[in-house]
Amino acid sequence: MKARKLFALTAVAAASALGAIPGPCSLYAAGPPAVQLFVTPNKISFHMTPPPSTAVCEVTIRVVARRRTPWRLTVLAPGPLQSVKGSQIPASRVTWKASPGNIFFDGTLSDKHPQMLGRGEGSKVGVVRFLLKNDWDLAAGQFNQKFIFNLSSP
Amino acid sequence: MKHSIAFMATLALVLTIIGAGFVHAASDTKNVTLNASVSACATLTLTNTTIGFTVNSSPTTSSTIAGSTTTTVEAQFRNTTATPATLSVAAADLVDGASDTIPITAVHTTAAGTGGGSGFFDTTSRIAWSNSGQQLGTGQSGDYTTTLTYSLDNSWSYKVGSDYTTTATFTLTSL
Repeated sequence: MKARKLFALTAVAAASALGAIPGPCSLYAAGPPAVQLFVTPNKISFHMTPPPSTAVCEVTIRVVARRRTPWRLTVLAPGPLQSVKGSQIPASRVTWKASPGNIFFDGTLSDKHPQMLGRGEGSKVGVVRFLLKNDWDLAAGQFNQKFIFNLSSP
Repeated sequence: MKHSIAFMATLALVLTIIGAGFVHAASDTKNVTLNASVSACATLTLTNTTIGFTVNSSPTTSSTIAGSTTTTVEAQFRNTTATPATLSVAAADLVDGASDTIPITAVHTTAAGTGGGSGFFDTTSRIAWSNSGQQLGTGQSGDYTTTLTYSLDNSWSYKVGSDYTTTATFTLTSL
């Protein structure tokens, strides 16, 4: 009888604890995440030809999600493209074209608000081609920035 | 009673496990590093590079003689430093076959506009050319276009029947 009572109390305690601890500590989250994002490559370069021209580079996006699990994907630059000498290229000068078009959307990069890049359900793969217009008004230099891709599921 | 407690506890555990699978939002974030290498470069384009002056009036009647045509100048450049680029023109004095000369300072150009953007060409005055180089414009990286109009100061010293010539060099310097 004591053993049964002990089991019962242990079960209640365990249940309470598991329900109270969110995220990665729950039993659910200990398994595969509900949504996963893969972006390759993780380093991209615009190869600039003489102006006026448009430099292009691309990444492949892979969203892994359970069937019918809804998700949305955004992209944000934390600031303008920056050179070590202090010159800048506004983030808005970078645009992108994404495919397939029914899941991934074309857009313009922002360093203020995350921009919608895709929305769907379940696992999907897409390609995003980033474009940088190369004109004479750009200062010469090596510019760097990171793009933050965020995948979320409600 | 005992069975009831055990059942309730088990039920609570099961419900918690199932519930956890439905209520937790999920997200994932990945960063991609971007690099863009922008090279310094400069291009200068001139159209109509042969200019003539026909001096057929006295200095009293016409103090300046207009050039036969205009030149379109396009300066495209990208600086690597904060130092503005410059466009200058230099030429030797005009000379005829008998070594008579017209000083190059008698030749002037006037720019029709600053060239667009933040501006490059000097439009404030009629600029006299020089042997050592006269600045026609200065500014930051960009693509600038203007039209130069030529004029020659008329003078009694010009020799009748002579053909005076020279060659001018336009230099765009971008640092």
